[in-house]
Amino acid sequence: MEELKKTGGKFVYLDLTHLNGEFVKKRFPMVYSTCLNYGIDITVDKIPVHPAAHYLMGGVKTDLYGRTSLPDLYAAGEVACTGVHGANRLASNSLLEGLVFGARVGLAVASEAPPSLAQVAGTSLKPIESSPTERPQWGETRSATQKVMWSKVGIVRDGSELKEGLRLLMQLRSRGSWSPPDRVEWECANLTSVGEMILISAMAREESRGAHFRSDFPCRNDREFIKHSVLSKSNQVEFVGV
Amino acid sequence: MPVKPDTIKTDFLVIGSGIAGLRSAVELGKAGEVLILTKAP
Repeated sequence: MEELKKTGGKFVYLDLTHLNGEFVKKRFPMVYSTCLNYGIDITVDKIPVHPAAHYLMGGVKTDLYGRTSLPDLYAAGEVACTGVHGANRLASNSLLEGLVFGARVGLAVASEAPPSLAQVAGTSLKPIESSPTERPQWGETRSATQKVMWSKVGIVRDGSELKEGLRLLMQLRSRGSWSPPDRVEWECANLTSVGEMILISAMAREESRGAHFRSDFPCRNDREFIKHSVLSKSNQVEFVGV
Repeated sequence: MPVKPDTIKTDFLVIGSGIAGLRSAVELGKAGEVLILTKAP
């Protein structure tokens, strides 16, 4: 990131050309073919690269059987936050979330007595009508949200940028009615809500740890922050011991 | 024209067909009827 700032460029180069060409093709077949699609042969060309956040450690808080804070609602996979990864999740460890916790949730749901239909009948939600109308302003809100997230709460963060990011997102939120009538608008509303929670949590964690790096708090602070950040409806971050 | 959805009843509802959703559905299938909702085409 520092190098990008220094050169003002959009990427830096990754050079694999010192490695045997056949080895590179065999060891990185996906990278090889993807780059080739863009006219880059990684056995002879340098690869333009840019760092990005590959995963968000947060999610819907669950216990080790996928139980959420709502009765009869379970979560597993990328949407869940079981807490097992700590402050960073390294590549391929997502298999744990998918295979192990997917199975655990299935077993837990199957063995825990389901509510009878009579019990839930009174609580059914109003059906959402799907309407095929195009609403370009929602596409705009969506990409504006993504832009805020990319530029304000990326891999290098600092307090004032985070604050600005939160202000921009709240502005976007106030644009719509936010009682979304259909799926497209619900997704957009959810995207902005999740964005807000990421920003609020990143602001509260005044230290650097794992994938969270604050240039204004570059050190780890074990005294205050060996904890999970938990947000509820109040949007207040509560730090809970591991 | 807006589409009025029918009411569907099932024992277990899995939202999403990623690895975790499908893996849980394998277990749930042994205990009852499973419905998987997915955006994937």
